[in-house]
Amino acid sequence: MSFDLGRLLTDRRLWKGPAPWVLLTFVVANFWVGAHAELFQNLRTHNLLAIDPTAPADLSKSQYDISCGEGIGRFWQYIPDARSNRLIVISGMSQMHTINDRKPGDKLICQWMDDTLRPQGIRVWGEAGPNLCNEEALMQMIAFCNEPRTTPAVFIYALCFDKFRNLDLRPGYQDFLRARPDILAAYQQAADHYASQYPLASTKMKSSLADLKSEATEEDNSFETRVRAGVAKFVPLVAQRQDVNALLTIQIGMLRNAVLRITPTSKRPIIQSRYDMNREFLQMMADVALEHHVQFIVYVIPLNAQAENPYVTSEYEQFKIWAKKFADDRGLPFANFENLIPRDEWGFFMGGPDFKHFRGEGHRRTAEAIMQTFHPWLVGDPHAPKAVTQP
Amino acid sequence: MIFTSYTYLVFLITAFVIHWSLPVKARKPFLIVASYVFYCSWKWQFGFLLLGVSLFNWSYGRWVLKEATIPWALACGVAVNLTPLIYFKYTNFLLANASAAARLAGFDWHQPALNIILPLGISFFTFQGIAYLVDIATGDEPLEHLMDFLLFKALWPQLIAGPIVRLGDMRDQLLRRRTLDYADVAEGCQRVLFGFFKKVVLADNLAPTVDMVFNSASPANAIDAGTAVLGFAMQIYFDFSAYSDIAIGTARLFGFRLPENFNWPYLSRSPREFWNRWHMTLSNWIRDYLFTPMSMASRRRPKLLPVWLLVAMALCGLWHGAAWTFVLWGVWHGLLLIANSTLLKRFFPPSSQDRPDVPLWRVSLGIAVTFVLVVAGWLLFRARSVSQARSLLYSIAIIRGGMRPSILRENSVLWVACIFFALLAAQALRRPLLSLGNSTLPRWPIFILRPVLYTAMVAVIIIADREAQAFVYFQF
Repeated sequence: MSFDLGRLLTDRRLWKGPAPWVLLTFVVANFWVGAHAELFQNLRTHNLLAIDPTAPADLSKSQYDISCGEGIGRFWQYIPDARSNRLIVISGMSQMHTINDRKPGDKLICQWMDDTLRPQGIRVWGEAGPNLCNEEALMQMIAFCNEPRTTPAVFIYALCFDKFRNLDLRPGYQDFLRARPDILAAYQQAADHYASQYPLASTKMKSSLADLKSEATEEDNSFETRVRAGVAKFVPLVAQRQDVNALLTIQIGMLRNAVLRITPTSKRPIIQSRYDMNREFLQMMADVALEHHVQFIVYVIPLNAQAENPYVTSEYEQFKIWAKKFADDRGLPFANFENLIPRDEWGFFMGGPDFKHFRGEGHRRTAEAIMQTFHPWLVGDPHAPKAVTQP
Repeated sequence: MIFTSYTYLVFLITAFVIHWSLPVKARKPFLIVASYVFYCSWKWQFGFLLLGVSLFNWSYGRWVLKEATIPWALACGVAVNLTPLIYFKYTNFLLANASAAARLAGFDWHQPALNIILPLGISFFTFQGIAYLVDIATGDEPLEHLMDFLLFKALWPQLIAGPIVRLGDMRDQLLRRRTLDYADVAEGCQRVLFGFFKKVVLADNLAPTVDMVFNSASPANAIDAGTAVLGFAMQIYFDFSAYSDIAIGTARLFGFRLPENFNWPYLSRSPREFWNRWHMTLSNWIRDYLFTPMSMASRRRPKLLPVWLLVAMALCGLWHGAAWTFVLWGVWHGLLLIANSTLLKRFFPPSSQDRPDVPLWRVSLGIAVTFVLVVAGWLLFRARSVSQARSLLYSIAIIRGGMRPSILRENSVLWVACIFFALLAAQALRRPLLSLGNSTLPRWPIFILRPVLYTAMVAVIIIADREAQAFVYFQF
């Protein structure tokens, strides 16, 4: 037995140096994070706009993914069984799960639809997520179509122009894919199958898959995961790191906004390659839907005409023309709900009128418009026109 | 087991406590076992490859090179070392090029790529093995005890991605008794912490931006290409120097001093100085075991020197990866080194060690031009193909898209710019910051600042962690 370690521990330089203070500061920091864990979680939830005070305590009564994609795997089991109901999935961005100035009795679009259509044996499930991009929507569609229990009869997707700037799968979806090798394989298969037809989207999908695989598939990583979970039990900073990370990211974003004077309505021109890629993702969604006999429906989301929006007008006009043509070419039901919501049904955001999120009335109105406009497809009218393959 | 994983931290702490608790005689065997556990945690089968190469080099050095006077004995030893490297790393490259050549010659022959897994660190331990045999053949005494040699070869901090340790660096450290000293532990912990910060916070968070452009099938605008290549220049520096920091820090915790690998390379005043500051153990290896023997063999024909330099650098590129982009990267640096010693000899200022009194504007110009040339080389290094490198370079040259990105979001461009300016600031302020410890300032601000800084670094590492991403140099 050697006494080297003992000598090190009794070395006065060790106790006079920074090490004990680093340890002490670290312990204090952890106590502080541990004490504010709930606050961090709440702030993160707030940032995701995933606040639903009416969310049922019994998750099996959920009508949508309350985690807004963060914990999609947790909610997957509560999707109404498509074998015993006619299942409609509705997906899109934050407009669909956010209610400005929420009042008792307010409901989301998907909830209005589910409550209205349920007596006809039709169930509606909401799978919206903040900033949802088409790559993620495609992943959702592939996941839904992967097994009969979740394969919907109709998949409604809300088109939001500024989401055509976004790419990548969020961590919640990455975790979901890692936990579901069958869906991962289906995603890979789609990337391979459509490689020549949609090269941009396919390349991006493969890149996303490569990231997933490099992160956590090795045995070493499963051990690593266990080690991390073990450490997280004793070190609150490790346990709360994602919440703290999200909070810091918001703060950095706000600093950026302050320095560069960016506001919610600062113009965000399209990023051409991302725009093209998102168009390919949307086209691939139409193909995947056709392949699985799912009726794909798209609509352009309502916008607040009274509020300034961050779109470059000419680009937005081109987008709407393209979206209409895309739907027409594919024989997809399409609607432009841009001017659907009247002035007083919108809310306020960061001191000005919110250009995208509305009050409870807006949700009811949008749900009614969807049910009215797309009624034949929602109820499965055999005379409703069918989608066609890409011309 | 990746250096920046929690598993590694557990392994490191456990190994540290056990090592220094063991009797002195048991420490070397323990370090060898720990090194093999570390290596085999990735793929245990390749542990036998490492053991086989080690046993060969030790016995060959001790009984063949030392005793025999056969002229080709060294060449045989080097060939044996190179065989696994060529098989594992270059088979598919050679087959692909043979197929292409056959097609050009009109033969319909195609060999599909073989499913060969590249053993981790093979490039590094092959170079180490060759250096050992050459050193023995040129007069160094071989390590007498197998235990010493196994430890020299397998010591885990340097096993996967260097620094490339030579016999001369390690002999005394292997033979003398190592003791646990506070200064070593303090320095080791600091280096490990800095390494974690560079890798987890900087390199891993630059990677998505870089990958987004280089993995994209769409044409990039100038701002995308410029951001990606600048981002990669910083990513590879932070990534690899982080690995070296953790390696050097880890070794220090066990009483070993490994050679430094980086010395602020982006402050180089010339391409020549760059190679004295970047991956120093590799550039020394290339100089001593490749360039010098080649130039000595033709010392009566000094005009061939640039050719040998070009060949040495092309092989250096090929060592990094089995692709023509790496060869071109090596050739590019070879050309820069030739230009540095011929056409542009007067343009690039001498290094700070040779001439510290060069005017600031000349130094700044030299640094800026060298940086741009090196970054242009990184474009070749990171590109998936020569045509992609050409396309990105073309985008930059014609300033395609003006200031508007086509692939990246504005945030990504901003992030890379922030890191770049932070690096510039760190480089500019490095001397005043380093001299803080010796300054006449009262001790208390430093006493307070250091723990706060270290704790903040630990916290940021935990928060920014993207879960143990592999190091870039693991693929080489």
